[in-house]
Amino acid sequence: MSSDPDLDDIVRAARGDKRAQSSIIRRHVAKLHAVAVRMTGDPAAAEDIVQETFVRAWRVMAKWKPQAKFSTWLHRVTLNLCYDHLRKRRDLTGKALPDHADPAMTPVEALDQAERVAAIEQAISGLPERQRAALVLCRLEGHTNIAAAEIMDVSVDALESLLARARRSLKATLGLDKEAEHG
Amino acid sequence: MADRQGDTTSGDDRIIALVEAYGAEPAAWPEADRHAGNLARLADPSPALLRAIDQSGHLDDLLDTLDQPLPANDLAQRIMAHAPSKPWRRRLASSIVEPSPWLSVSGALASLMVGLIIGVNTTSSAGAEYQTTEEDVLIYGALGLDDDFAAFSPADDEREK
Repeated sequence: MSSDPDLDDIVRAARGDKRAQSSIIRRHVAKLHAVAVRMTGDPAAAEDIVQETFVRAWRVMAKWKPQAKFSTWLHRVTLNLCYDHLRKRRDLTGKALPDHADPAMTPVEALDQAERVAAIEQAISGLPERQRAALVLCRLEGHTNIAAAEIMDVSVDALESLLARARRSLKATLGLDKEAEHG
Repeated sequence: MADRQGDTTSGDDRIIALVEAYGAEPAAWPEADRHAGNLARLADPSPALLRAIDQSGHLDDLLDTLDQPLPANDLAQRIMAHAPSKPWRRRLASSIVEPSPWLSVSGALASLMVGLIIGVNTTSSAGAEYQTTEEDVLIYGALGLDDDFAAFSPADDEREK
């Protein structure tokens, strides 16, 4: 395993060193927050999720064993908290969110910039959770396929399959496949 | 070159799978596959590969328009509020090793005051303390320090006079 850039800070942060704690937060907070926002589509919930991730991190730091990279662990906790949040939200609304957006939707190319961004975000939020997670980690947050597979606890082949299905769904939802077929 | 089957070649299958999973740009592919991806694009691509690249390229363009979500400014502070503090033994130890500035100033002032008080008290009795006796003369003489002793003993000088 390659050396973990967080390791020194983890040891000092567990002893209450504020500078090390701050350094760990600075290194990860924006990335974890972005994953949580893209997974939940809810910035307030995303902040709660990131805070909870760090509360758990502070708890495990004193007995941290470097079997996995700390950033991988943080992302995995964030992702699991996102799944929990989505599950609770589903339970509250009493039905599953649609896996696919409305196929009669206006082709994305015909929308203005703001509408287009909203349509893309809506299409992403309509993806099944694991496909969304694969797309968010790999395509939107720039993790390598190996790192993303490790965070999601799946094989690289499984990740690739999730990515391909996610992108196929998005193309269908956003009307990109029809466009190509007709053009 | 791989054999062509319909509108694809057997070599295209893996490239199309990569395009569909990771996007049209080989730069976004797993490192081990990038070279093959670049070659496939330079060579004579099949219609299926061209279609896959076109569709995925469109999707990539759209995904690139999404802004990076930014956390609230105080999120880091809120997280810090839950971070572990030093145990009291370590806090005590670090306050001894690294005293706070006000402690350093008050410590210096206290040292100064104690020094002044001791200095004043000892100066007033110094004359008596430095009175030499015959015993002192004998001891210093035995050590061969007669001259030095005489030089630093004004009381003796006075006695000789």
